[in-house]
Amino acid sequence: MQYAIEYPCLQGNAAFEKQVRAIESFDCQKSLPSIKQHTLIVCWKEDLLLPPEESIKVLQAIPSTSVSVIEDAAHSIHVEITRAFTDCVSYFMNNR
Amino acid sequence: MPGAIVNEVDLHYECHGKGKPLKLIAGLASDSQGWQPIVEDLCLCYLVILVDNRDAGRTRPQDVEISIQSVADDCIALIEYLGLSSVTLLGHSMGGFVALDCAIRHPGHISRLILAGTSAFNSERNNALFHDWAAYPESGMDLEHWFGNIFYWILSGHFFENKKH
Repeated sequence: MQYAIEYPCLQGNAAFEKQVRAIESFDCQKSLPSIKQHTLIVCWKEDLLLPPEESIKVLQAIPSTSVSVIEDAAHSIHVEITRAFTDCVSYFMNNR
Repeated sequence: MPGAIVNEVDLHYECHGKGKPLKLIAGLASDSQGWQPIVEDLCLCYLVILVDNRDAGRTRPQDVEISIQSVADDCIALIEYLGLSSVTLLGHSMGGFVALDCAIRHPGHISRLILAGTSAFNSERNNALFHDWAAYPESGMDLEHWFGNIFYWILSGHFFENKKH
């Protein structure tokens, strides 16, 4: 908490609001079948914002996907169970 | 750490390690520093490229217009600026939207995609929630309560249980 509050490059409220509007305006569902790259979908079992079952259902419209679901962690991938995530990334980078 | 002038923005970026290029794209309110807990592992094997998206972190100015497409254009411009033919893109949350847009509009620059905690659109529930988060400071909420409120949404029950012990 203290690190977040004292972070010297904390995003201002106006910029935050602009990012929120950018997110709201985006929807690429129709283009997913055209994606050619092999894609790793990583989800976190306790993600309340983007629950795994919903994300996987949407993103599997990409023709070539692998899926990994990490237990015991939520949306903040930077803080919880980071080794499980980096292991997933390394396996994908080295094997596809 | 360097900056690259692309699309009229002074984009702060960092490169760590050597190997296959892996570019990380942060989500809402986050920037390059948010990746630090995983960079240490990944840069042992890969060239990890971090960037502060427009309107975030050390990238300047902070008052430019932003869309998922403009952040994606910056991402592609940085790949070209670094002289890389293609990279693996790893996008988290909003960064996943950016990674998807790069793969759709600039497929030649992207070798693989890693989509972490993301989707192809934001739910209406999340849009309403994020607008509330944006409005709280204007209603007088201090930073401690603002972050506290967000942490309930982005951290797991285990995180709070472990804090008890």
